[in-house]
Amino acid sequence: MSNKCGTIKKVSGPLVIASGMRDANMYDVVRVSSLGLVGEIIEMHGDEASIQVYEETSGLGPGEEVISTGAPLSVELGPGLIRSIYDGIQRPLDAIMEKAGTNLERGINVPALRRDKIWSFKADMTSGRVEAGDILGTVEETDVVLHKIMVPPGCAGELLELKSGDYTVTDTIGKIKTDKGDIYEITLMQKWPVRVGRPYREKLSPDVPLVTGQRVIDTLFPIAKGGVGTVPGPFGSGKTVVQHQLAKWADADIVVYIGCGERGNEMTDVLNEFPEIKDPRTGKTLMERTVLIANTSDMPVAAREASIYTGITIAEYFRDMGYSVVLLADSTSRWAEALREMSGRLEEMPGEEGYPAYLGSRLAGFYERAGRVVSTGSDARIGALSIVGAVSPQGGDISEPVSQATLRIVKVYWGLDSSLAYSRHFPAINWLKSYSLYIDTMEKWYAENISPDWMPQRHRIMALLQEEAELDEIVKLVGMDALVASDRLKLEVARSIREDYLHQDAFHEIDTYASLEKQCIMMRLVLKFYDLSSAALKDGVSINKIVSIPVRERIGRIKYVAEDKVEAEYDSIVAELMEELDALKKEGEADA
Amino acid sequence: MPKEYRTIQEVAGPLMLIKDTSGVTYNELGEIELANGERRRCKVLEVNGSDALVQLFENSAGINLSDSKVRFLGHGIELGVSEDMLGRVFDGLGHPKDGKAEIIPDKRADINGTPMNPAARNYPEEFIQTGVSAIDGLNTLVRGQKLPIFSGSGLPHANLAAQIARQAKVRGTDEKLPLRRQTSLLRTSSVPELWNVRYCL
Repeated sequence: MSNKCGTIKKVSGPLVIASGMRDANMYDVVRVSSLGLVGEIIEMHGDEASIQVYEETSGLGPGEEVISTGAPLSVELGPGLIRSIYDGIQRPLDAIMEKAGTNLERGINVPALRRDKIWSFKADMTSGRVEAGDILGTVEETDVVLHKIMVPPGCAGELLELKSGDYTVTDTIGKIKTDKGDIYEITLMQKWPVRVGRPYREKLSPDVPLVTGQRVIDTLFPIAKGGVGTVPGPFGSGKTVVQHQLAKWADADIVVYIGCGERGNEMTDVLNEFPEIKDPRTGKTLMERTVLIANTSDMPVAAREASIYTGITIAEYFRDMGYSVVLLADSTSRWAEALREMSGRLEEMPGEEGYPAYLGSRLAGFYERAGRVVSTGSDARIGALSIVGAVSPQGGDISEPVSQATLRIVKVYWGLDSSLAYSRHFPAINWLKSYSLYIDTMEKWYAENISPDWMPQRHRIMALLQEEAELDEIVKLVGMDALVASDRLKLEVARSIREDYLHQDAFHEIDTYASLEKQCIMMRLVLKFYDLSSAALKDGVSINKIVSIPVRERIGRIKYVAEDKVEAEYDSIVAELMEELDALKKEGEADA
Repeated sequence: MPKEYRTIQEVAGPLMLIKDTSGVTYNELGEIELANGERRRCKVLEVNGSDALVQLFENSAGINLSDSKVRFLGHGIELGVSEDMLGRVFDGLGHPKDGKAEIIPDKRADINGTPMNPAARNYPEEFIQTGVSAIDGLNTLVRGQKLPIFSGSGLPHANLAAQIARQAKVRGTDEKLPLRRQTSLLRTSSVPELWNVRYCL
């Protein structure tokens, strides 16, 4: 152990350089000074190691000791993850609060998973050959999450014994005689280094949508299970609300939410709200499937860099169990700024806007850990890990490096727009700027599972919105009155799409979530209005009369109709619409 | 008695390099004594072996590489705090500016504080009535929020801040924030830029 002990030579903010570290490995976790601050070796020069320290380094000076733990930065994976709130290096914030009060003291050492909690383990097998990733048994972690205990990666052999019973996470539950002849003792918990992706067998094409219940997302710019998306937007445009809506309503089994350099009160919001909101699919609260990682803006900057890796490793672990996992990171800009700060301290050559030259490859390395995969293990489970990262470009201008590097990697882009937010159109996702590259691969799924009309309707809606933008240009030049009646109708329908369909109230009990079936009916209704009105227009009804028929009020309110009543409401609205248009037609004929 | 160093190597702008130090720690507070006895404060920005790089809080005029002495105080920037601070006016380093006596501190607190545990926060939901209709009606102030006032030159942001400080109260309680319950920290523009030490109670 003594040969892994060095001394501090230089301290510069979160960067500490220690000498005498020749025997330590790259990315080893070290304990710095008598306070035992946690750090990680990020560079080695001769016997000097550059260490990024995850805690405040005030009061550190040359000569103090640095001890390597000999292991890379790892997370503990096992029962007890769900409902936890961790900091960037997986220290449980709720347990720290019990121990140290409301503020975070330095050098606190609390294990990530509670050691005293007893879990009831049910073995699925007792003997036979096992491969890495095979499911040995299960623990009912919460009412919603069945935690599957897997053979850790890299371990295969003969299962000697395995017993059901009550255990803590560190108790031995069984033994495996590995192929090398060693005896491996199985525990409920395993460890995995955060900077290495967990292995899987095969990546699959992302062709199943991640249903979010948000109309503008599901209809216009859907994200696939295992897909990657980004939400860039200026301050105040609702990035956090979009992320919270996804955390609440996405049809995932597990949600990992990383609050990375954002306000502390936003994490409180999640902590307050999630235990109250019921998951529409399971009837249990949303907290029962959520893991939170918090590195708020006042917490140490180096741990921010680690926080997204901690989060994604936990997410991958649940993916390996065959679950659909969503990882939300708010915001990756703060993460990139942490990277920039460390890079500056290391005196590296700065790239664009001072960000390190490897910003793009680090971001890609993070996002590429998403995917829909066949897990290791002989039962070939399919799990998916989707990532949605928020980006906060300064001034909302996405030509800055973090946004650009992100856009090169992700396939879904939800561009938030401050002018939409200002005019109270939420979610403020701009339909002209945003895109989803998963539409073509998922077309088949929508046709088979929702309705064959889905994609044709979606394309018509998109076309109408684009035509609206073109017509708006003309209106600006020559005025509304110069438009032909059919174009005016298009503008009216586009307005209806925007206000009645895309606009969605996150705080309304019913409107906050719309199932795909409801979305399909609502789309059909708007387009029905367009088709019937176009026909009426051809029959000579005046456009002014069409736009002011009373039934449009009901079209606008269908979003507030409960899921089970939507279909009946649709039929009744269409009947009324036809009646009113017929009446107009007769009136017109009588006038003539 | 802390060691005194007469090994100032370089002074450039607000930065100063001191050679051959030992036992200096990051973020430590230092004191420079000029040949004429004047004292100035500095903070350690980086320690590298026996070199310490410090940042001066005041200007560097008059510092002499051979005569000036530097002492490190063994702690970061601390502020003596006490309930008696209410109703008083201080400068950025906690010295009284209202002509009254120095306070007797109950304890000394590091001005950087420690980060708050997100798990320990309560969601801010108590409305603070400021009496300024543009704030109360449109951009409500909530207890526990932070609130910057953005301003351009020539705009009366100081008046607004003073008005909020004078009138703010939490609805439903009698809590008020009159001047005698408030501690003022002043930094006039004549004081060097780096003096804007933050204040946390």
